[in-house]
Amino acid sequence: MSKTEYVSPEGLRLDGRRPMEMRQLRAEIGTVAKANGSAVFEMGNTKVIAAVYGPREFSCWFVVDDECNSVFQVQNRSQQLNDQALAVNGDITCHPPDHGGVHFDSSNASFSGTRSACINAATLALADAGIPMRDIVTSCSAGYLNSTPLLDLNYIEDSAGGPDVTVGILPKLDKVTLLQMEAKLPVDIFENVMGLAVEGCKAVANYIKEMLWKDEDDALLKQALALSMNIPGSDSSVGDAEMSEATNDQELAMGMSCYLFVVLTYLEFLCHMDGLHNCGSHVGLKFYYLAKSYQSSITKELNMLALQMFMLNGSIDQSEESDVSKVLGDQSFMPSIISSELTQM
Amino acid sequence: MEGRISNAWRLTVNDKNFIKTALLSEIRIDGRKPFEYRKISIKFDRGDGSSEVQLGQTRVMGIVTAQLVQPYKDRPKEGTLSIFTEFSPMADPSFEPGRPGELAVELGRIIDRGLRESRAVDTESLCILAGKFVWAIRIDLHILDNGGNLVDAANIAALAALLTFRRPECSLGGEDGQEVIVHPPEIREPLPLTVHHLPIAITFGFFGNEGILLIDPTHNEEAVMGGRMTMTVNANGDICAIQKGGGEGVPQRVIMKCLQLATSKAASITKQIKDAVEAFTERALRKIKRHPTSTDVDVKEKQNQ
Repeated sequence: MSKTEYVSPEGLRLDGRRPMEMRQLRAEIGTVAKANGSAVFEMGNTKVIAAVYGPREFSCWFVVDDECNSVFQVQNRSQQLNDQALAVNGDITCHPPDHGGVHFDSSNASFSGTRSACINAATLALADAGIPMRDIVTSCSAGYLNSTPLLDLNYIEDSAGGPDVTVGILPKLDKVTLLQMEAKLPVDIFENVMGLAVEGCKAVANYIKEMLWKDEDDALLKQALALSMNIPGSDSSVGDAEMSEATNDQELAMGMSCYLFVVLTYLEFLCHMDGLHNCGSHVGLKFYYLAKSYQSSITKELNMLALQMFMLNGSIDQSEESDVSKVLGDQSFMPSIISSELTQM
Repeated sequence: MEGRISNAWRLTVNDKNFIKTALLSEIRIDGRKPFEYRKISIKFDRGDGSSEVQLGQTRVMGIVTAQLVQPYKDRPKEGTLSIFTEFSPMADPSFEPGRPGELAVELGRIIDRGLRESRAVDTESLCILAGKFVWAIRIDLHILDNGGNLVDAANIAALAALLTFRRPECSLGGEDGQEVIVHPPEIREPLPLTVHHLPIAITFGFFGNEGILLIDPTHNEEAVMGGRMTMTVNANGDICAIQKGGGEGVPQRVIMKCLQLATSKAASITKQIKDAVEAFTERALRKIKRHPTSTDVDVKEKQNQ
């Protein structure tokens, strides 16, 4: 409203950034202990904590549909985020009986900045929870003040009442899923501003990918394994006892399927993160195909293999991944499945 | 949108496939082309500031009222504009009475953003006495029938109602000049609002992998489509608001294509609204005789008798 100068003659903004510069990003996953997945995402001084509870069982009395989208509940502190947060959900295709809740708590609220940070935090939290996603969703805003397109508006710039564009993209597919724009702007300038926001989204996507990829090798995989171990029994010792007694029990088989499903979920996500091919001879790929083939053909051999892997609980947890791959490699189980899957790729 | 509401009406799989397959060969179930808008009819009620818009089978009623209130502390010289939506279960069984649903909130916000952030209505001219009295304009939007694309229909209803609305004229009086006198319509002709431009909302539907794009989706198409985007543009080619909350992702070039389409549609819709309003205003002026001169004459005549 007032004639404040948002860009100095030297081309610097109020907080010292250049027009095309983003605020500093910081992200952390697994911050809420009780949640299935959680993340903190900071863009400058805007800080958002997202927690995902789920997937949970959910009575599907009305889901009779050719394409089953999962149901997501989003609880927000501020109503403003309500529809924006849904942007994240729209892009997640889940197995039908999943029910998740995403909870946001934005501590330092700014408008479009919060919106973007919330979406980024939610993406991370969902990734942390191991929810299968088509792609990650990242978001960033851009504005137009003093005839200059500005990337990633901070609170003061946002409250100036100028045009602001918030974009959410699927970086791998290069598609825009969320697009919000306020105040009046001619078409050609809008194109520039939107392009700038998309570039910002890509930068955020790179940051998130790097961050997840950095500790993917051990942490996430281990986490996947550790988590999967906990599913059949309440703790590992109980699981061990059960296993030694009932080898081919049906209950156990169900446990296996559950376990493999979780591994699949994680690996699907990991593979999505960098494209399947980049995984190469990585142990994750083997798990992936194993789980995939398990899904398609439920065979006894696979059950047995899963069982053996399950028994290796201790060694997997502590050993390097090479051990795991060795264990897998040594198995004489259905090499045809894996090789055929590999050739298909 | 509707897929998330538990008691939402659902199309059968066969119907969905039929709509999708027909769309692949650019045929819509109501016989329109992909970029063809449904017929708009705008009606006005007897009073000022109320409109009823019919867009295909969708019907929305818009009512504008005004009240003198104290302005916000940070904006002492500006009147206010607020939008309220009413989704009655009569229009669609998935609308729950009382609680505003997700769609109701979204619709209100899209129209609010289009009208307010683009400063379509001059709020400063609504000030009577700075810091004490300003006009608060309230737009009520009632959904009467949900035939799809409520946002566009509600937006047109809001604009038509705003354009026909007349507020009573006010002047300051009293000893200190701080007293507000509201003149009844018989004494002084009520004043129209200052509307700078008409932000027109145009909604697009996206259909999944085939990359089908269409304008003004009907209720059935809404049940099938994977994503929607509403662009609010005016006839001058400015973009006033864009809302695409999730759903199917679309490449950037499609967005720019939508913008072009929206701009051209907005021009024709603006013309339709203006024509309808003009026709109504002329008729209304002819019908209502509230000029003080005529009453004066009457009185004099009576005295002479």
